[in-house]
Amino acid sequence: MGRPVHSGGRTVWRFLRAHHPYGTLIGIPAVAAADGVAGSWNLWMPSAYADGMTVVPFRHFIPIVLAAIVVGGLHSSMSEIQSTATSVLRRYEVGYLVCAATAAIVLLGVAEALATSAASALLVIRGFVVWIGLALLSGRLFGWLTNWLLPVLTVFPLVYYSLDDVGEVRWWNWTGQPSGDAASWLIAATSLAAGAAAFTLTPWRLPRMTAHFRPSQGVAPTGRPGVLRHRARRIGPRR
Amino acid sequence: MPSGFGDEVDAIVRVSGLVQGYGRANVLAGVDLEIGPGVLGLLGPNGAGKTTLLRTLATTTPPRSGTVEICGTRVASERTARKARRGIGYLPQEFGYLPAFTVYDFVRYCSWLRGVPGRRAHEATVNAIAAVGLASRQKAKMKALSGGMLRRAGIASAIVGSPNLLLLDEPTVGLDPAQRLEFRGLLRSLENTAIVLSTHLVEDVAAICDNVIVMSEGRFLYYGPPRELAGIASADAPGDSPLEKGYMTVLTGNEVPA
Amino acid sequence: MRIFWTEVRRSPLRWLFPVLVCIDLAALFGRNTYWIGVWPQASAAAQIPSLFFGPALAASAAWAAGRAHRYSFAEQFRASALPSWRPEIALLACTLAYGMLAYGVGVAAAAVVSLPDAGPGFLWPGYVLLGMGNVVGCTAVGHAIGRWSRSAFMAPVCCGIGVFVLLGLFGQSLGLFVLSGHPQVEVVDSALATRLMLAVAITGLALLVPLAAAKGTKRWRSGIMPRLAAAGICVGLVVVTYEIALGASLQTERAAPAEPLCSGGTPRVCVWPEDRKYLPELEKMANRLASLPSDRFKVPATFMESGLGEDKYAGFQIIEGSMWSVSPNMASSVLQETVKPYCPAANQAAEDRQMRAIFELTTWLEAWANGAGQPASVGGGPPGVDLRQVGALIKQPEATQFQWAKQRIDQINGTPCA
Repeated sequence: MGRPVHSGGRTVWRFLRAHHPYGTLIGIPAVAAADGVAGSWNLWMPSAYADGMTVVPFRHFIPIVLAAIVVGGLHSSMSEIQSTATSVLRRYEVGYLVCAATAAIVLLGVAEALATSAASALLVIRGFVVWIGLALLSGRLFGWLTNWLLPVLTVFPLVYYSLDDVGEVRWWNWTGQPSGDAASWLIAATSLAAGAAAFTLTPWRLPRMTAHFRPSQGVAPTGRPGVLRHRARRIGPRR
Repeated sequence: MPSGFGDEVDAIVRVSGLVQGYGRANVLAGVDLEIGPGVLGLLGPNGAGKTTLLRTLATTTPPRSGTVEICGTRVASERTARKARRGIGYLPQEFGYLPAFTVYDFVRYCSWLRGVPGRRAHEATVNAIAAVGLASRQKAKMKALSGGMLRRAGIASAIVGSPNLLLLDEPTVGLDPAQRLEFRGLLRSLENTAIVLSTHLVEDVAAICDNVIVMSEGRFLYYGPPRELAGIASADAPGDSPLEKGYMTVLTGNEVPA
Repeated sequence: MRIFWTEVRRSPLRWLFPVLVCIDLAALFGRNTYWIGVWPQASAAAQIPSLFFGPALAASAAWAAGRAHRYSFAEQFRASALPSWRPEIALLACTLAYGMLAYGVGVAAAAVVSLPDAGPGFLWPGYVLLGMGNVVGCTAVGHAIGRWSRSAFMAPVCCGIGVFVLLGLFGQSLGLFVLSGHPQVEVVDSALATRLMLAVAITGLALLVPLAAAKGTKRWRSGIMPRLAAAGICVGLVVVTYEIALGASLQTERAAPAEPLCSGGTPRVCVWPEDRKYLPELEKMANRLASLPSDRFKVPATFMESGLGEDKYAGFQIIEGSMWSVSPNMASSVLQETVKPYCPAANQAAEDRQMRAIFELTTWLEAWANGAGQPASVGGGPPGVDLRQVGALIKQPEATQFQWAKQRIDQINGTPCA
């Protein structure tokens, strides 16, 4: 029997169709475009800073939506069936993540660069990297459809505690620090690493990795194990 | 017109000229039916219109044309549909449940949706859960139940409050043989209730149905007692039991016996 | 009620509740706690966390309301004998219960910590109700969208971000929240009522939004009453939105009390009764000003908080509990009594010298009243004044300072008028 011929393009499209294709294919460009159009909207929110208010450009938080859309594409209504898939599915998932994240970064960066500047583009890309890491971690913990949970929880400290008492941007506030700030890029790298690790830790790998931290499962049974004898019934003609 | 009861008993359901479908397609075209107390089985291949008929009787979807009368109420609007639903218990083929609810919570919630009065709701819920053999599991979360237990919980949600019309779509999927025996006993114990049972399992039809309708492509091919359906089976019809042979005979012959 | 408690016990929001409480308390106590002990300020501070609850509760409500589609329960809802809004009330009430409870924790905390220092009275209900209106309105928006949308993912994400953006863009300009609650102002009842009606209208719409039907299937046509109710709510929504956008401002000046709270010494300091906790410190500041040499400085008999005097806009303001914010007004009052009335100088050079002297003297008087130079947390200052120099001067012997001040007084008094 010859090896099956795979139509790569059709397989990719089938994979995408099982993973919310229209939401991803339309959502990513739409949100990137929204960054270009509405990114400069200023949001006035209360803050812990002495002045009581802080002004946050909308573009600082648009990457949360992009990260949620990209990671949300990992969810499938066929997840039960997919849990029995071979490693080929895993390759496609990794490929999807890399491609979707790259597309999001490129589109977001271009939209931002056209709307403002290259430095600002780097800033929002950095935010996207932080949030996609958190989205992967959140998705692994709470389900891919609720991957937005951890990223959304960062909004409060980033808005409310964005500035210190003398009006300086706090060191961990990656949305407010300049695009070349090393600490912010370190946060981005750490978040991405955590997200990648969470994505790698499948339900099979996690128990295996934590096995030697868990107590032993009990005493081994004693006595002769039972022996099951079964004589298979021949089906078909004798040769 | 098929009537699932004796002449001396009033019909619980009266359907006349029912046309129903989805999108541009009509699944049921001009169905007439009267259903009284007893068990009426619906047999037919996939896409025959069994679920569509059940959903229409459950008043979840208004008919495209025709009339549906349930327990004396002509169902023609949202208001009359809600009034009729107080006497209807419905278990869809793919029924949903809220995973965090316990079995008790789930059945109690469904009893509330059905309009069972508050003062009777607790007793009705407990009785329904006991009737399906889940009394020891009523505090278990729905997400912790096996497939068969989920199905039984679904049945409990349909029978709670003793409805006049019970619509069951594939209720025995996932039940083991012993549980199916109990289920049949449960249906036999429901008095003065019109039960419409859509199933692919001819053994269930043979065991508990007073009458059976064989449907195909939205039309009724056969109506009558199961033993008569078994009786008209042709010798060369495929099937492992007389009822199966009779079913296949009707299906392939497309004849409604006189 | 049984069903409501079932929803509360089984809601996924019970896991979010501790997070909301943490956010509430962090927003309340994570900034300047000047509001403690001043009832209107405490009330305004307790209302601020509702702005952060809003997006979180909108996303949570959208997630909860989408359960009919997520768990394939829509068919059973459609077969319900109850009107569609009744199950929705139970679910929405459950979401609101968690939101209100988290909000209530913050309100209670604000009240408890303020009780020892605050005088008679209690939290001002206007501010508390304003926050409740935000919680209700945002939750209702999420519920409506979650019920209407078949997507279990986009609805919560869009609701959360959408509500966040709307509050950020329009929240302050439409008076959906306040940052502070000075005793001089109060919430206008009619303005508060329109904002609460907005929340109620959105809630009504959320309950009437029909569950999204499966493709190709018909829905029962609603009765006349729900349609009339929906139409009425939409009209009401337009009216209250118009009123909020163009109508009266949320806060208005408050009538001064017949007897403000004043200190006993000379000079007197009078404050609004709600600001009683500042009186001892203000009295010290007034006494420090009174200790200036009387042959050179004239100190007014009374320092009044803004809104208490005949001129409502005269008087000092206590900004976020900072005593430094009081000193410019006190210093200006002393300067007005001490030097001749201001007149434009005969030439520009003299004018510059006069203004510089006024600024420097005022800055020094502020530092004298506080007993220290301008703190680093207070930014800015009068033009041309070296704040560090004044900060160093305040530590010099009094004789040096008075001599320095005398030079400025003489310069101001000696400026030839045009």
